[in-house]
Amino acid sequence: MYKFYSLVIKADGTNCEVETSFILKNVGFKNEILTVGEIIKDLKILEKFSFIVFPGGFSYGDYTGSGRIVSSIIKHHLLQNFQKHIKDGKLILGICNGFQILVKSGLLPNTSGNWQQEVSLIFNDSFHYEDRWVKLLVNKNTIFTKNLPDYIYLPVAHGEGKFIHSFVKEKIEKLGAFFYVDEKGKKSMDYPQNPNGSFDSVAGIVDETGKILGMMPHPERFRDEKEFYHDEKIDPYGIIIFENVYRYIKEEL
Amino acid sequence: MIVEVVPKNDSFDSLGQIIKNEIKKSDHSIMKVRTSNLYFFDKEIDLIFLKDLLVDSVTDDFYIHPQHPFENTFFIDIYYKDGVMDPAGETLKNYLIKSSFQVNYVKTIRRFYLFSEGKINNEKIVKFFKNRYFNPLVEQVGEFKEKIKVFSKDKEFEIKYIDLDCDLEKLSKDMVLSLNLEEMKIIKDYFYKKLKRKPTDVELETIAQTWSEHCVHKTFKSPFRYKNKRIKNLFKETIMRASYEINHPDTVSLFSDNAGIVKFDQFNNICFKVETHNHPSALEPYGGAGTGIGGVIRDIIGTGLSAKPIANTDVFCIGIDEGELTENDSIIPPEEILKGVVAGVRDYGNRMGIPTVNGAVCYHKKFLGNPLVFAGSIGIMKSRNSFKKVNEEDYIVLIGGRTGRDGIHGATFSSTSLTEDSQEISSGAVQIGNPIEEKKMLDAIMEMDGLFNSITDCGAGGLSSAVGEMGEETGAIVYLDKVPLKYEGLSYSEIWISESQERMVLSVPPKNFEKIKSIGEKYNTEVTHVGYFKGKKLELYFKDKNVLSLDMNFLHKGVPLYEKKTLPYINFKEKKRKLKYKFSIDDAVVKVLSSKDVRSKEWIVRQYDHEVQSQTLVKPLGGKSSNSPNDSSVLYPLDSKEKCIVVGCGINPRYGELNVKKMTYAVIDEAIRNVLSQGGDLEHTFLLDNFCFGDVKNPHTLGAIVESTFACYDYTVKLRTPFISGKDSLNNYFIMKDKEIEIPPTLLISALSITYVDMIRSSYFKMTEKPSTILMLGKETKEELAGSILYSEYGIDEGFLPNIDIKESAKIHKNFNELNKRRLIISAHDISDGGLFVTLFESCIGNDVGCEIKIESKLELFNFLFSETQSRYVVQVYDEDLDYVEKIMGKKYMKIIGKVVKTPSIKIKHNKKSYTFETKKLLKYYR
Repeated sequence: MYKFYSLVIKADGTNCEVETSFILKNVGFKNEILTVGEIIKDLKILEKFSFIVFPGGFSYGDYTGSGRIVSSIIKHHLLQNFQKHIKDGKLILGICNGFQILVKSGLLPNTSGNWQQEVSLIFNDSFHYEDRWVKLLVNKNTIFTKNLPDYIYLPVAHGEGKFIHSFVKEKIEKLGAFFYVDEKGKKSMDYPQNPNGSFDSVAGIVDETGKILGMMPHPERFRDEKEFYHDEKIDPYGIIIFENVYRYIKEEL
Repeated sequence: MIVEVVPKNDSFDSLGQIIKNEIKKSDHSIMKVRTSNLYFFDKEIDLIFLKDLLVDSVTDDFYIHPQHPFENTFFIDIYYKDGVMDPAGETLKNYLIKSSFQVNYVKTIRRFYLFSEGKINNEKIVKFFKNRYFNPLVEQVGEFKEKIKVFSKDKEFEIKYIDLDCDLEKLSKDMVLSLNLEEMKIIKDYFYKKLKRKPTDVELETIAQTWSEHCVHKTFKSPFRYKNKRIKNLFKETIMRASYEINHPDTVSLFSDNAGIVKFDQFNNICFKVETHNHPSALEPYGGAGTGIGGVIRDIIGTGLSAKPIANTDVFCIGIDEGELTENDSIIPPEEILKGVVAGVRDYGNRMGIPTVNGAVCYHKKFLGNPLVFAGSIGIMKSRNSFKKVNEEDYIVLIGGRTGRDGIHGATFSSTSLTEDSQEISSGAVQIGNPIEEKKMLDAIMEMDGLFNSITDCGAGGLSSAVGEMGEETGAIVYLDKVPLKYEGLSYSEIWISESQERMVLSVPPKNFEKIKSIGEKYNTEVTHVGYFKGKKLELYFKDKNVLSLDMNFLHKGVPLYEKKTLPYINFKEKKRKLKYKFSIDDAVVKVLSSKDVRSKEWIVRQYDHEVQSQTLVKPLGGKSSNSPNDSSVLYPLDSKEKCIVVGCGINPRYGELNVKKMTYAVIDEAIRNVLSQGGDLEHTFLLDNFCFGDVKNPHTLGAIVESTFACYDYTVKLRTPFISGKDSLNNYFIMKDKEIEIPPTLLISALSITYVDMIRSSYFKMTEKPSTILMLGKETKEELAGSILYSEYGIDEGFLPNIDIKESAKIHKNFNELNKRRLIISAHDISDGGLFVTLFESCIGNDVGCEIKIESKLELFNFLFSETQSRYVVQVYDEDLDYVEKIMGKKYMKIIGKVVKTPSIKIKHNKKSYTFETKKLLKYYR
C-alpha cells in the first residue's frame, strides 16, 4: 500500500490549509484537503492517510473559545478513528488552531490515557492577537524535531496561545517539544520573547506516545529562506519538521 | 435557557485583569474585574453537548441560570441589539441547526463583574465602558433579560405606490433617497409621462441607489468648469486619459471591473482595489472598518471570474482632539476610533486568512468627526479568468449569508454628510460583519472555478445594485420571495435594498447549477436560485405580483449630470519663515520621533496576521530587532518561481490642506519611492487613486478635485505608471456646533509593482564585509518645511512646501530604477515624513547599528535634517560600485553622506559642529 498520503483537515474558518498542503506536497506527500463534513460522511477514508494535519485558522470563528467546536466534533464522531490512527503508529500534527483543537479534544497530551482534556491554550496575557517571529529551544527527542538545530526561529500569530498545565517539571520538560527563549537561549517568561505568557515557556508539546505534535508557531510559514524576518540566510526550518515525518513514515511504517 | 461560562480563577481571565488596570486609573475603589460569556438559546439544548461546545474543562466553570458564579456582585452585560449581526451567535446557531437542534435564536452576551469596596456608580461604569468596550449604536448595555424575540409577522402584503404630485425635495428627504430636485423631476417625468403610472416604493429606492454618489460617482463623471475651461468628463479627461495614453502592455482591465487587473506572469494576473468606509467607521469604528475590509475583499472575489485575495492594506486618517469633545458629544474620541478600526480590520482580515501587509496612519484635527478608513485588497487570478460576461437565460444565483434588515440605506447614507446626531439616527446603515460567513463563501467560490459566467458582490445597494449592474445588457427577473431571510417580516423593498454583508451574486448556466449547489453544501454556504438574466428590463416579483418594472437604460443612463462650477482651491501662501525660531536640535529630534505620524505603528502591525498564506517575503517590520519599518511589503505567491509583488502607498493630508496640487505630486512621489526603495520596478508599477474630499457644494472643494486629478494626469504620464483602479469618496465634512468642518483634501495613492525576487531588499542598514557607503540620492535638499512634521509639532505655519518639478523627479526615479535593475543597492529607505533624520534613525534601529554622517551644506542643520523635500532616498552601496552608481544616477542627484558603524548611535557632523544621538535612548520616544 502506498504510504505517503497526508491529510489536511479543514473546518469552516480554517485558513492555513493551502500553504500547509503546499509544503506537504513539496516534501513528497500526496496530500488531500478534506472538510470535517466530508470525513464524517466517510469515516473509513481516514485509514488511507499516514499523516494528519490540523492547520491554523479560526475554526468556526473560534467564537466560543479557540478550536472548541471542532474538538467537540472529534469527541463525538472521530475519536475512535484517531485512536486507531495512533495505534497504527501513524502521526498527527496540529499547528496553531490545530494545536488548540488537539488539546481541547483530549488527544494531546493524553498522559492519563483516558482521552480527557488535560492542558489548555488560553488568551495571551496581552489579550490580543499578535504576529511576530520567536526564538525557540528544540527538544530533539521527538520524531518531528530530530535533525533540527538546538535553536530555531519561527513566526507565531495567534490570540489564544498561552499554554497552561499542571504537570510536574520533569514531565513538562519531556512533553515539551519547543520552548520560547530569549536571545541568549534561556527559556523566557518575559514578553515579547514569550509572546503569550505560556507556563514554562512551552510553545509546543508531544503526547505520551510521541506520535502527536501540537505547536503554536507556524512551520509552514518558513518554507523559503527569503521568508526569514531579516536578511541573514538560514535554513528554512519549517520544511525540516515535515521532512522528519516523511522519513519516519518511510523507515518505520 | 441562559448558560454562563466563566474562567475558573483570576489568572485565566486576562481581559478582566486588563480592564481592572484601566479602570483603576480613574476609580480606585474597584478591586477586581471578572468577565464571563453568557449564551441565550430559545430552545433547550442537551447540556452535555452544549458543555463540549462552550466550556474549556481545564479553565472554565459552567453555570445554568438562574445559578450565577458571583452572587451579589455588581455586573453589566453588553450584547448586540436585535437586528445587528451577532457573529458568534450566528455561527453557533448554524452549527446547532446542523447538529439537528431546532433553535431559532441564539444570542451571546459579555458580562463584566466588578468587585468594589464601596458602592458602585452604575452611570460612571457605563461611561467608562462606552466606546471602549461597547458602542451604544449597535450594542445594548445593562442586564440581559431573557426574552423570546418575536419579529413582526408577515402582514398582509400590499404594493406601495408613491404619489409624486407633492413636494419632491421633502419626499426625497423623508424616504432617505438623497436625490436632488432635478433628479426627482426626471424620475417623475419618467413615470408620469413615459410609463403613465405612479412608481412603487421599491422603484424609487432602486433608482436612488443606482444614482447615488456612492454607486455612480456622478461628481467625478460630471462636466466641470474651472477657470473658464470646460471639462466634459473629469474622470475620463484625467485619470483614465493618463492610463490610456501610457498604454501599458501589462494592463489587462482598467476601470471597468470591480478592480483593475494587470499581468503577473504567464499564467496569472493580479488585481488590486482600495475602498473607503468613512461614514460607517465614524459611527461604529469596529463594524465600519470590518465591513469595509469585508467589502473590498468581495470586490476582489468579484473581479473577472473571481480572484483569490492574497493581501489586504489599510490606511487610517484620524482626528486630533484639541479639547473640542465635551462630555456629551456623540463623537467617538479619536483614540477609540483608531483602536476600533484596528480591531475591525484585525478581526475580519485575520479570520479571512488574508495577510494585512501595508498601511499608514495619519492625523489631522479636521478628521475629528469624519475619520477616513481605507481598506484595500489584492488578488491573484488565472489569466483566463480576467473577463466576465452574463449569458442570456443564466440563473441569478445568490451565495453566502442570509438577508436581513442590515444596512438599509447604506449607499444613500454614505453620500451625505455626518452630523452630531448621526450616531443616533443612522443605526440602520451601520453593520457588524461576519468574516466566517465570507470565508466559507470564498472557499466555495474558489472551487466553483469555471462553473459561472459572471460574478459580483452585494455591496452598497445590495441586490439592487449587484443584479442591476450584471443585468444591464440582458435584463433581469428576480423573485424576491426566494431570497433566504434571516428572519420573517421583511418587505419586498427591504429584501431588495438590504445591504446585509457576505453575499455575492453569480450568473450561472442552468446546467451547472446543481454542481454549484453541491459545492455550496460542502462549504456550508447557502446557494439559492433567485431569478433569471433575461427580458431586457429589470423586473421584480414578490408572491407572484410584479413590484418593479424599469428600463435598464433609464436606470443606468438616466442620471442627469450637471456642470460643476468651481473656484480654485485656496492655497496656503508660501513665504520665507520670518520668525527666528531657535530650535534645539535635541528637542526637535524628540518631538519629531515621538509625533503621532512618525512614531512606530508596531502596536497596530503586530495585531494583524501579516504572514498567513505564507507568501509575505518582506514584512511591515524588519531587521534583527524587528523595529525597522519597511517602505513596502512584498508578496511572493506560492507557486511563483521568480516574480513577486511590492505594495506601498503615499498619503499626506497636511500638505492637502495647504496646497492640493503639491500634495498630489508629493503622495504620488511617496508611493513610487516606497515601492522602488524596496526593489520594485518602475516600469511595472501600477497605481490606485482614492480621493477623499469635502463638501461638493463648496466650489473651492470642487476646484481642488480638478487640480488634484490634473496633477495626477501630469505626473503619472511622466512616470509612465498608469492608474488601474480608483474610487472617490466625497462629502467628507462634519457639522459640529453648527460649524461645517471639511476634511483636508486627501488623496491616497496605492502602488503595486511587479518585480523579480532577487531585486528585493530591506529598508535598513547592515554591517557589510566589503566596505560600503551611505548616499543620499535624488533632489537636492531645500528648506521645504511648511506642512512638515517638524513645523506641525512646533505649530509653525510659515515656510515653503515641497515643490516637485515632475520632469526632474520622473528622471530621478527612472535613474533609481536603473540602480535597482542592476542590483547595485544594499539597502534603501525613502525620505518622507519627518525628513532625513527619521530615515536615518529608522534605518539604524533594524539591525541595531549606527551611522556617521558628514554634511557640508549652506542649509541650517534643522533644515537639512527635517526638511521634507521630495524625491529623495537614503541608500547603502558598496564602495566598489560608487562610480557606477554616480554614472547612472548623475552627479547632481548623488551625495555621499557617511558610513554605517557598529555603535548604535547617529553621529552627525554638520559643517564644523558635531552631534551624537544614541538610538537606544531615542527608541523610547519612537516606540
